[in-house]
Amino acid sequence: MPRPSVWKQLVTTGRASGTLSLDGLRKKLAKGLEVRVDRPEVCRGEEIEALVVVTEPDRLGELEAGLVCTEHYDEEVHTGSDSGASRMTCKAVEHEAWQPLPSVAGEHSVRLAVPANAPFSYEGSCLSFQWEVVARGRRDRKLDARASQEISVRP
Amino acid sequence: MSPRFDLQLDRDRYRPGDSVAGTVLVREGGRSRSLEVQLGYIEETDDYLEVATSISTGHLHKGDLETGASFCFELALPPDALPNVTSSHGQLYWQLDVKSDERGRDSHELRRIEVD
Repeated sequence: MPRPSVWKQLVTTGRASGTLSLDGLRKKLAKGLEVRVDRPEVCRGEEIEALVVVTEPDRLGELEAGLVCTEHYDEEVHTGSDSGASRMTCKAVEHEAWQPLPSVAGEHSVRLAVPANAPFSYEGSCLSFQWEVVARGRRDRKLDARASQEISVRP
Repeated sequence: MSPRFDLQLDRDRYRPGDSVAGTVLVREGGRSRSLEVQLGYIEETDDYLEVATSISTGHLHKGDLETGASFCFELALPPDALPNVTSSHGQLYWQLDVKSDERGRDSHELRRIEVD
């Protein structure tokens, strides 16, 4: 299995200084793309079924559906010479697996597998794991469109 | 002088609801106010460590510890105990902490246990 791409960014609120976060922009671009999960709870090692609803395929680019686990972790950050260290929550993709979808309007059913040894959904003080079913439209040299629904992965 | 301990456990792997039983052996005696064993679910990143849940035996012994003394204990994992997991930037795991409460810095003997 390919190792998930590891990226890191500071956790930002939806709007900071009047600007949207990247995630917020991706969601805004997702007009015509929707994810529905009827039973949003699954155990590790099982599959989850989701429906991706596409109404405006022309503006969404190359479509994919996937299962994404995001790790939120606290890190000590040294910001300046005299100011000492501060605690900051960062995030990184811990697991992601994608499958292509036809770029046509309609309802596309997908089954996505949760690896048996992956982290489970957890919200802690310095470490958390969040799972989502995601549909994205990959557009050449443009920001992806992104629609998602959070799910709960039990141990 | 601070006491030192060896920790012997009945087994290596556990399931939710299991009892974790073992013996604390005092390898080197020393000054102590009290001795206890704690079983905790730990969240750890590169820079931080938090105890999400902790269960204690209470005092197994009060007062100074003599070399060669031993203390049996048993602690129950919660029926809904979460398993250990390791990720790219952190880990969640169960850990036993043999803790001697002392004036100044306490002595600890830590042992991670596998919970599936």
